[in-house]
Amino acid sequence: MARPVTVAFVEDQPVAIEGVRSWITGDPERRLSLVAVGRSVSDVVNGPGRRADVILLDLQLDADRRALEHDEVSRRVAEIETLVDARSRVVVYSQNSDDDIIRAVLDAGACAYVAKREVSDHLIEAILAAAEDRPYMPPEMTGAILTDGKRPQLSDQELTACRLWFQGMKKATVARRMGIQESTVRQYIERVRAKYAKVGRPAFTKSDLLARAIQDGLINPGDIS
Amino acid sequence: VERVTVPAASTAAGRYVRVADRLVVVIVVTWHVIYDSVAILVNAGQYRSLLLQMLAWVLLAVIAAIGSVRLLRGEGSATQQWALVAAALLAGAVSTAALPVDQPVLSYANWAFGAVGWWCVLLLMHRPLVELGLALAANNLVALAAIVAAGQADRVTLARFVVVCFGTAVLQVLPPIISRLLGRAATLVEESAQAETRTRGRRETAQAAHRARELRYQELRRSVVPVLAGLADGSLDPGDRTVRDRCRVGYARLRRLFAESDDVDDLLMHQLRACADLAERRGVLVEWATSGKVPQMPSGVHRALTEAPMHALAIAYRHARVTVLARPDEVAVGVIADTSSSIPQLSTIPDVVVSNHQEGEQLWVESRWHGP
Repeated sequence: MARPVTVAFVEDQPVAIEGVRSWITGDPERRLSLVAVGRSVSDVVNGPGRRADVILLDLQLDADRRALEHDEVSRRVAEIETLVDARSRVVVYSQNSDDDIIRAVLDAGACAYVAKREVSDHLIEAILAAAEDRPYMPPEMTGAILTDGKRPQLSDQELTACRLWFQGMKKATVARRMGIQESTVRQYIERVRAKYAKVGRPAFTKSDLLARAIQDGLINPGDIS
Repeated sequence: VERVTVPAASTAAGRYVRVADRLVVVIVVTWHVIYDSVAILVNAGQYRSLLLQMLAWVLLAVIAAIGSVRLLRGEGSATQQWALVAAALLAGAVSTAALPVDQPVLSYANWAFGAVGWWCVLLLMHRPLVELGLALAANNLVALAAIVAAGQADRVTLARFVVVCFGTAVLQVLPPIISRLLGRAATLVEESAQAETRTRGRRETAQAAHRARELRYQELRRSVVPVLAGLADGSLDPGDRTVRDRCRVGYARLRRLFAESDDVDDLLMHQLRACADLAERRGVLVEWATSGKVPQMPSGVHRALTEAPMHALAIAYRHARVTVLARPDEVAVGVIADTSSSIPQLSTIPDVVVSNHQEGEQLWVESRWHGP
């Protein structure tokens, strides 16, 4: 069996740390291993988290403040850019699911954005996909991409699959609704994520994602020209 | 004294005023080219100095050209217009000074006397009438001075002079007066037409609001009243699940009706929250996901968009997810709810598509609006 994907976790709330730890250890296939936990990005990357496959980052680190303030977001986005430029794969999760914040985080080069209420269904998948440069989109992230004015042109089928996925349908239900295979639904959604990687600031995570998507036959090199 | 306000060219009043301006320009140009030139030619041999007459003619021609352009362009500051008036009076004085010696001052040879009056009209068309009166009086004074200087100031000549002054003045003040009257009349007509349009607009809005209200009450009569009546007379059993579903939908409909008249920024979200609020009170856990900004939508679209979600929320058991996905030309409202009840066939409007899908205890409904 392949070695588990190593995860470094930046979080300052003990409850959240315990929650994520139990999700990771509760995975029957033990696909993830939590190797470092720290209260700040520097705590994590200066310790054993330096060589982790994926960094999981809570966007809201100051637990005293309930709302995510504007400069805190910009500071966190700048941290993500620095991490990505140092060739780290970052998955962000947050209480907040504001479209602009999600888009800023993705623009910085984060692999995926998981809303806190999506953690149980999507966190492990998102981290595993990030480690392999494969696309993965939880529903909230899908919504932010669909309504982004800068998103690339998408086919009707891709739009429909993503819309139903955003609305909360399981992929199998989306497939039945659209009269197609579940694997095709997955392909449509992943293709949208891959196409979105060419939007905005260049980052190694985006080019790796595109390269992997072409290699896997998800998109054609022509799709991203 | 400020310049008299000239109505804007885009208004009917402005168009009338500009027609009057053009008329004055035509009068002045025709007068100068035909009457003045012929008068000089006919009397050429008798003038004290033909050269001075020609000089006065050329000077007035130049002033007419400048004055016409300025009038048609709507330009005219008080000082500049009065400088031109002074130049015209000077030209008139030069011509009068060079009249034939042996002829009466008020004769055919004195072409400048009538001309300068029209030049004053051209230059002071949009100045207060008092200014035109002063300029015409100055022109008359020039002629009177010439009469006195020529020793022709007898009673008959003076009486004739008064009659001529009065006659020409009456003609010359007519264009500015008619222009003002036409302008004022056109403004009144336009204002009353606008007032009528406004009244008609208000009446149509009121009628539309009334029709919309009637429609809502008819809808309530169709959906809520039969349930209440049935419960009251015992023909409907509150223990029956479908009866309870109908009660909940009716309740949601009432809540949405109240939420419609609220003045809020985002009417769609406001109405959806009103529907979700009722479900939450029954203990349904409602989860929200919204993305994008809801655009301006035609009236009636909000109701059509919330109809199916309202039903789904009313019959949800424990959990419902409400989503709004908005782009500038498209809004999709989706609800996923756990329920074994199904929603009835809903009537909708042409731009809104309602879909639903049921799998076991999971109901999905979606209403989507596509903008033009």
